[in-house]
Order: sequence, then C-alpha cells, then structure tokens
Amino acid sequence: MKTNTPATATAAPAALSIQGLNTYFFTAKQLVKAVRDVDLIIPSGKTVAMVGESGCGKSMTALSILRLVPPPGRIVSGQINFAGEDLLQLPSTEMHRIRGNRIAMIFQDPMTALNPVFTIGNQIGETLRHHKGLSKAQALEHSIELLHQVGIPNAQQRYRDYPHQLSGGMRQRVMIAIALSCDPSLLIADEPTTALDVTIQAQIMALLNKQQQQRQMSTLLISHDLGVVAQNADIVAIMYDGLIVEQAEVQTIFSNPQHPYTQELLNCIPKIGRDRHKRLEVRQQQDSFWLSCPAEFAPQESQMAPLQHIAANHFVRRWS
Amino acid sequence: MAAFLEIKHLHKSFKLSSNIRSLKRQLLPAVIDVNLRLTKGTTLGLVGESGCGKSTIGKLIMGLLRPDSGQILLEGCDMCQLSQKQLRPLRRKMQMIFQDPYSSLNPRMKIGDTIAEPFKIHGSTSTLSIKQQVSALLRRVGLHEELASRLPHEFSGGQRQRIGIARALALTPDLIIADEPVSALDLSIQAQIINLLQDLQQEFQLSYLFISHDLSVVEHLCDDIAVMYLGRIVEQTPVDDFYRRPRHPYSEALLQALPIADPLIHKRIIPKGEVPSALNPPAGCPFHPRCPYAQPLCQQQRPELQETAPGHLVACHRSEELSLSGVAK
Repeated sequence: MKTNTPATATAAPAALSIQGLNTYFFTAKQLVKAVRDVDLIIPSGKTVAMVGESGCGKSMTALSILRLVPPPGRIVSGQINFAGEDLLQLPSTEMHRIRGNRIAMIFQDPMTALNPVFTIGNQIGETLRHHKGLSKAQALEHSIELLHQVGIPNAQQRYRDYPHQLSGGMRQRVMIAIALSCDPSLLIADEPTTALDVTIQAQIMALLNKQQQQRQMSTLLISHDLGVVAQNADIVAIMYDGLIVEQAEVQTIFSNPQHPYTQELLNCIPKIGRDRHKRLEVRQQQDSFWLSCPAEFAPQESQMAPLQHIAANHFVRRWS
Repeated sequence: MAAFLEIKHLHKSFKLSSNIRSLKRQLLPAVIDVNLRLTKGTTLGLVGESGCGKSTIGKLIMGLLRPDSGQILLEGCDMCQLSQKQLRPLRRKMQMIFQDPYSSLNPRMKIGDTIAEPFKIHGSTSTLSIKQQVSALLRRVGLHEELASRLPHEFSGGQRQRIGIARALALTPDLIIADEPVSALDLSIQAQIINLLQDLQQEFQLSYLFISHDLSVVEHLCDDIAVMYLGRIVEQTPVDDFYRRPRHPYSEALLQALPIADPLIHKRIIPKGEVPSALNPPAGCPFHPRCPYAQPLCQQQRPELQETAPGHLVACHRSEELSLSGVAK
C-alpha cells in the first residue's frame, strides 16, 4: 500500500529511516499516543528538522530512535532502519554499542547533561575508552584534540575543568565534543541552543554545521525555533499531537506551506520589517488545533490517514 | 512629550558573599549609570544577553531592590527618596508580569484569590464587588470566569500567563514591567499573549517596559529599544532605526546572530566570544574584546552614551564612521 510515503520516495541513500513508529505512554489514567505513525527518512549528510510545540512528540521520536523512551512509555510498533539493521529488533547489548557511538545525542540543557563531579576531559574520554577501547593516555590526547575542534580555547588546560567552571556556551561545546568523539554517522540534537544566548546560539549552530560537513554526518535537529530551523535544516517535518502533519524541503515549508497548522506556525511568529503592531494571526484560545482546522485535516478516530504526496518531496497528512 | 517614567544615573551593585579564595567581599556592578525615558502609552524594549542587568532594572523600578544611587521618577516623583509607606500608593500604578508562569503563582491559592489579593492589600471595595471585578478581569484576559475557583496546576502555561496578566491589571496600573513574559511559551501561545498585551495597551493606555532577549518580539511590540551590555546602556533608539541601521557593533552582533525564519536569507557574520564576567570587566569599551571594529582607543577609553542622531543614543567611539548592517529590508 505504501507506495509514496516519505520512507520510500527519496532516492538519496538514507542514514536512518523510520517507518510506522508508534510510541505510547500507558499511564494509570489514560493511554497517551505520544508518537503516531511516524515515517521519516534522514538522508545521508543532511539535516532533518522536527518542529513542533511542547508535547507534540518530537523529543519522544528522538528518544525512540535510541530506545530510551522512559516508562510508562513504550514503543508499540514500527521499524527504525539504521545501517541495514532494525534498531527496534536489536538485543539491548547491541543497542549499547550503537548509542553514543554511531548515533549520538546532544541535549537541550548543558547544565544537567554533564556530570558535575567529573572533569570534562574525563567525560569525553569515558566515551572513547568505552566505545573505541582507547587507553587512558590515548583517550586524554584525543579529548584535548576534540576540545580544540569544538573551539574551546586552551584545551590543554581546560580539560581538567569541572562543568561548573565553564559558561553555558562552553558546556554545550563540551557536550558536542562528547557527541562527536566516536565519529557518529547520525547526530540527534534536541533543542541544542534553546538554553543559550543569541550570540552563543549562532556560534554553536555554526560549529554544528561545520562539524557536520567535515564528518559527513546526518543530523536530526529538534527545535521549536523556526529561525534556527530555516537557517540550518535541509528537510523539515512539522509535528502536532504526535503526528507528522507536513514534511518538505526547507524552502517549500517556508514558501508554500500546505497544512493549516504549518501555516499557523509561520503566521504567528513576529517577522522583522513586516506587520509591525499588527495582530499576529493565531487561533483565539489554547484549544486543540483540530477543533478549529478544516475538517479534511482533523484526525478521525477510526482510521489513520497516510501522509499524502502532493509534490516532489512534499507530504501532507489529510483525512480525505 | 513628558516622560511618564524617567530613570537618571541609576547605579546598583550586589555584594557577593566572601569565599575561601578572597576574604574581601566583592562588588558586582549590575546596573551602571543607566538613563531611560518611557513616554506614556508606549513600549520600551530592554534587550541584552543574560546577566546584562536588564531584570535588575525592572526590579529597581518596582522597588523590589533599592538602588545605590540615582533617581527613578514616576510622573516626576522620585521614588528612591520615598519610604516604604510613602511608596505604597505609587505601587498601584505599576505592576509586573514575570517570565515563568509556573513559579510566579502561589500553587496553594485559588486563582480567583490570587487576582483578588491586590484589591485586599490596597484596601479597596467590598467582597461582592471584588468577586465581580475578578470575573471581569478573567474575561478580559480570555479566561472563563468559572475558573476562578481552580488552582494554578490545573492550567497550562499560556493560561497561567493570562492569570499573571489579570493580576497585574487588577489595580488598573499605568505602567507594566514585563520581564520576558513570552519566553517560556510555545509559539502559538506566545502569539496569543503578544496580541493580548497589545490589545490591553490600547484599551488602558498602558506603558510597558518590555524586558526581553528576543529581538523579533521586541521589534513587533516596542516603540523604542535600549540595548544593555555589562550593566550599561550601549544604544537607545526608536525601533525602526535600530533594525534598519544599528549604530553600536554589539547591536549589529545581536541582529546578525538572530536566526531569521526565512531559508533564503543567509547570515554573514557570526559574533565572536562570550560576555566577560561583570566582576572583572574589560578596560575601555566593555565590548572591545568581542568587537570586530575595535581600535587602540577602544581599549583605553570608555565611550560615553551620546546622541548621534535625533533620538538615537550610542556609546561607541566609531559610531560616526561605521556603517553597520541591520536586518530590515
């Protein structure tokens, strides 16, 4: 049946492809469908951005890839193909070998993602010793080299620092060094610059882009900031309520959005040089978007609509 | 036009607790010689990176902190000279909206009581009319009046921010200090709150001091903008001028770093370096270590804030000769 899903339409070799992923949370009160029927391809060397508001399922999609969904969440069905294997079928020991090694992740908050009682050199070296089997001395040498690559001045001295001695931007650089340490082929960056000031954000995104090009890495960028996405992504998937509602190349999403939710997201951000003091176009209250959108886009409980292929590499989810 | 709020030569430093390394108590200058003017019914945006002192200014105006020196004039009356008791009637005229809608509401108070509290503190009106006024406020910010008996945890972030706005509006203030009021919200909710703030401004002739780090929101909402760096104002100007032609290299850096939601516009310059520690600020111009246009003079002498064009204040030695790039078309 799936002739023209995003998982089959793109010709470029895929670093990762997700098909029919469903991740549900089985809470005592109710069943929460955090990720519903997600199909996504991350082409080799490209950046795919997942965009949506809090609770839309974008982070849970990322955690599903690494099989780190916290309980009571569970991956219910789907396939995640990476380097010829279905990650969801692998035994957990095999998964250990992939996590942090061939697929690495950067988190939003560099304050909490680093261990406060170990030096940063130690934390980078830990990954290298575990995955690459380097000796302590080799790991140290390599850590200093990595710190240098991510733009930390005086790496020779700084590797002995503890996280609290570094600024937020420097901590995020250390996180990137840890993520890059094993030369991953896929990097998952979950809101990597949300906690940072705007000048530091620009520096961190430039660093990520440079490293991606040098290493031929693919990136899954998770963000709610349409500016960051417009400037850094190749392909954009818009998520709402666990569903990918629209997916297209970055220019298409910004110039020709087809789903009413994408249109609302683009309309409701203030744009410099236009519309000053004009009201932003947005629905009145924080009710579910489905209540106010045209009927053809609102999900029906009985069945799941597939993403429809409406133009080259442009997909929209519609119920009729 | 007479200034509604005027700040003159405001200084504030914080004493840091002594630590093992230095027995001397260090002074952290948070606000240094700040002058600001806010005209009635307009919005002044105060922007800068974290730690630049913008929130401290908000707290100083509210009287939550006492300045070391300087004047804060509200309709010509210097609030720094008044005792707490004398300050009380003036407090009704200004209210604050906070960034985090989760920590700024008392979790044990019904939201109706939270909104009614200003009426009780300022000793106005009977219980019945308080109830009516709370209902009216809730309706005005777009919430159903029946929600008054609920607790904060039953609301979403956007709804809580509406409750915070209703509380701020309770005593019909003239000035609202909004400290990052939309930073913690999702895009669609952010847009709803921005619209609400604009509607309320028109309806009640409110003046806003809008503290934010988001330059797109500031451009949308504000009439004037003041940029802070390490406790000082480095540029102050009408908003249109600022985005078209900034005159301070730090303003240019902020604008260049701003990610634009248009994949066809690509950024040229990436700002370098990080904000230095306020405990040990650089000599000369505080921005010179990060400034691509710095000259020897900038390392030695700190430029004063000067009017380079009508209404356009800049603290930069080279503002006349530099032609910096803005973002607006």
